[in-house]
Amino acid sequence: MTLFRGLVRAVCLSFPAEFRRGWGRDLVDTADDRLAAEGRGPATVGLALQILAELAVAGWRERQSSGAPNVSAPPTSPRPRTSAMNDLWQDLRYALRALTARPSYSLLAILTLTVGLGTSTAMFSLVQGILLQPLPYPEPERIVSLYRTFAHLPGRETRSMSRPDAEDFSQQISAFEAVAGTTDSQLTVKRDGAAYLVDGGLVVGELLRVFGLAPVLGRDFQWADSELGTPYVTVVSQRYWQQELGGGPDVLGTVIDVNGDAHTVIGVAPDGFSYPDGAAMWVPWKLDPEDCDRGCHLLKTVARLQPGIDLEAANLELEALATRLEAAYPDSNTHKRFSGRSLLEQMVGSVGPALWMLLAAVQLVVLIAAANVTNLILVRGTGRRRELAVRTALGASRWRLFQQMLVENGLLALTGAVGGLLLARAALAILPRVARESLPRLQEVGIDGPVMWFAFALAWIGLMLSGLLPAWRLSMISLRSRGSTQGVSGRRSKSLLLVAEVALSLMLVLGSGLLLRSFLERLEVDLGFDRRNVIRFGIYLPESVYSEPEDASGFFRRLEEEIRALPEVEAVGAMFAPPFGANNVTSVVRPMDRPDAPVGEELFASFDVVTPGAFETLEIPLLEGRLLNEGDRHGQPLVLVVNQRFVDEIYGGKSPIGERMKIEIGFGYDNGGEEHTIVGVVGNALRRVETGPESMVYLTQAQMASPYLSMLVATRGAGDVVPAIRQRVQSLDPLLPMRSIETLDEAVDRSLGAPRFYLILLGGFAGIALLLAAVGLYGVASYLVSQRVRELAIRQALGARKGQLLRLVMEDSLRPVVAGLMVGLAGAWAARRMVESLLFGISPGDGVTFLTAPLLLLGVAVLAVLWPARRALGIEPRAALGAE
Amino acid sequence: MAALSATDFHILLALSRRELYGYLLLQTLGEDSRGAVRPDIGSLYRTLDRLARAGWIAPAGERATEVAPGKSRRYYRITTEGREILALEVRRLRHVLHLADASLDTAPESDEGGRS
Repeated sequence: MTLFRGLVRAVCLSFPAEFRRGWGRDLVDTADDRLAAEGRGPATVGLALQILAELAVAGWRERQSSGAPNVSAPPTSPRPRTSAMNDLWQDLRYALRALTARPSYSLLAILTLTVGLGTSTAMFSLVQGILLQPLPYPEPERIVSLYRTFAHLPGRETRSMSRPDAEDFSQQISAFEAVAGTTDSQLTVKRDGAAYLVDGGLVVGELLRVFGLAPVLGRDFQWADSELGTPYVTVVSQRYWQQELGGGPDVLGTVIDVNGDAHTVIGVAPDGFSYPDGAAMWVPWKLDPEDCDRGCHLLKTVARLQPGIDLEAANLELEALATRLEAAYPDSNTHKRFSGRSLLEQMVGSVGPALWMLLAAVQLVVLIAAANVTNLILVRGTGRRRELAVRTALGASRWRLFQQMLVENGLLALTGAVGGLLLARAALAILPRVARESLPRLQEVGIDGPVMWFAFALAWIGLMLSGLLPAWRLSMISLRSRGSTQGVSGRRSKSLLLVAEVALSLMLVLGSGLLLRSFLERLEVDLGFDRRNVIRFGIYLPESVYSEPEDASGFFRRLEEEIRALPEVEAVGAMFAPPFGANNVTSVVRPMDRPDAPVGEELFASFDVVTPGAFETLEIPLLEGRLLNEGDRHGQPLVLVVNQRFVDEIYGGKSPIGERMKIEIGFGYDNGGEEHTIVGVVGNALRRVETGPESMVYLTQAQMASPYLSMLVATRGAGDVVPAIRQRVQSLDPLLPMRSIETLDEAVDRSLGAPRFYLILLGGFAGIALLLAAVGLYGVASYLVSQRVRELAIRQALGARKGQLLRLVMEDSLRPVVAGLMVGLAGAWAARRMVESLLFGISPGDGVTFLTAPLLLLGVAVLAVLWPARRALGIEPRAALGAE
Repeated sequence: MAALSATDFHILLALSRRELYGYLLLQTLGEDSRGAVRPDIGSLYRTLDRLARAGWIAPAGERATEVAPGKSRRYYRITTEGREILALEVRRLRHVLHLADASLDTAPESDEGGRS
């Protein structure tokens, strides 16, 4: 509503100052009330525009009538004005009259500006909200996200950190005021005999202090809270406290059952704090050093810089610490390096370049819109020569004419800016649905002060670009001619504008063509598994209840049997890290057929724990040997299955069946370090599209039990099976929630979210550009034809055939188009690296795109030119000659 | 005196019943006139300005609205002079209606039974 109030206030400037003093605030209030009461959905924008327009007209009328005596009011004395103000006022009135006298011209110009400024403003508000606006914490520039790098693998980095390393940051890096490590987790909260899932975080260190915040109630976490043997405590969000825990001060000391343990509430986080994203409850992560020490990297670490210390100083200290730790703990810290980066950069890192690229691209749309408006003004100007000549003859100075035309164009630009802001607002309203989860900080995007400044500044620049030149030229020419025809120079400048327009449109069409091709490439990728009709959900068994590995593997075996018995179910299996999920575990593998690799040169592979049914459920094909089966149990020889990529990478493509290797990592209850035999090779099932196939090792749940698994259920596709499955889960353990239920289709689709979003945006820009270019082309072609009506009529009278004339006219209009295509191709070739980071599977110089895009544009151009050309040829020669 | 314009008349009529603020006045005008008088916001305030200068209406202070609690709006009231003008106009209208009835034979009846 505040945007609208601002606009109303701006429009109310059309009323005389005295009137505004008396009624201004009431006017704004009433306009606001009316919009609130009568605005419905998208029609609100229309109503808002109507109210603004009505106010502008009423203000103008009031100005005209003020000073004039009226029937019942006492006469007011006319206010003295300076002469310049008087001129300006006269110009404004004149401009309004001139613009309303040619409504189709004004409407076209305003619409063009509205579309250009609207798309650009919407794009800028994305950049402003996501990239430029500081994070909503005190002194956010002091918050640092920490990365782990590898001295022997340049370019590779990860955020995961071990707890002992993180604690060393807190104690040994003097540049840091506070350090915390987190991992996001769905917490199981049991209250009143039922189990709920709460988005939360597992925490070590001083979480709130890192963000510069103090708890609303109670205290922040300390390092000691995450040590084994200390009491279980929890901090809740302000919202959770108010909505679930009564919101009273007595909440401190309340005991809540989280993940099977009784946790005491020690603090309430301030309003709006939610890190990791979406967290409403935090519990310390008590990692057992026996299980998970310096080599076990499970925490994402953030730190707060001491006041006045910059990131560089912290990075130097981190480097020194890494060297010390490498010497002290060669087993776990060899090649391990640390570095920090601002939290904002980490949050928006991947979308930053894409958004800047799109903001640059949208400026092309603005330029095209400006070129179109310039053309409109020029074309219209030729129709006004007579009027301007008359005014000069009556004594108007060149400067006055120039000023008046500037005012007229300024009025257009201002209206366009207001329309652009409203359009941007409407666009931002549907943005969350389009962007879904592909953009961070989306809730912070909106039309705020900087965005409004941007819109008006852009309108001003647009006015300078599109209004100044024609205004100057018209005011000049009117001095020396009252001519009815226009010189060659006018035609040339129109053609040049057209060249620019076509070139810019081509660049946008090419860019979106590349994104489209790369999006199609993504869809074409063979995922290596069948994702149709597969439901996925997570089950996390609390170790307090399922304390032995046999408990967990027994539970999952029974659950699979129960689900398999459902008539709608075709196959069922379970995996620790299913494709397109969040889990990913990599570890060192040591094949026994070669000497042990030295530290830092080990072989790595991704790991997964599965039940035998998983391969059948996902239809991952067996290529060699055998799959895991029910016979591979605890106590039997340890076995595993690898994928084709693993065979290619580690065994050079030779059959690995019967080979033995040692697995370093342990899952859940196991500590790893055992020898396994390879019994089978399966096809490559992609974990995400971008990375391509990875080397995978599949272990069986019966031999390496994990308390957390994703259940995969292949159904026959008819009806909703989830309620029946939920009933089976609860029949085994009524307090066990099903986590993040979704279909594999949805998971795969989510991975396409960001590319789809960029494609929609750039494609939208290209569509608008194409439309604007077609309109501009049509306008110029019509003008060119109208200039040649007489010539064409003579040619026709002299016996030229219609086909010849058509070609003549088309050639005339299409010459600048072809030139524009050449320039555009060159420009796009030079700028092709800009979209490279967004492409998948094709090169930025993709031949198909560079061939089809110009053809598409040429086709649109021919259509836009054909219409006026044909109309011109319909004219009877006698009528055309007689008219002159 | 000259006849009041429809908008002037309806504003005075609406304010003669109770004090109103801008948007409520706009709505009342629409209802009273069955949609015939529905000025846009700018025109409404131009008229209010004129009526206030004439001394027929006056601001009645700012207070919380009945419809949207928490928002305060400026209310307007009719003045004694405004009430006299309104009474004069009603008298004139009544006379006009009387003439019309006599010539067209459209004697007033109840709403439901009225011929239209």
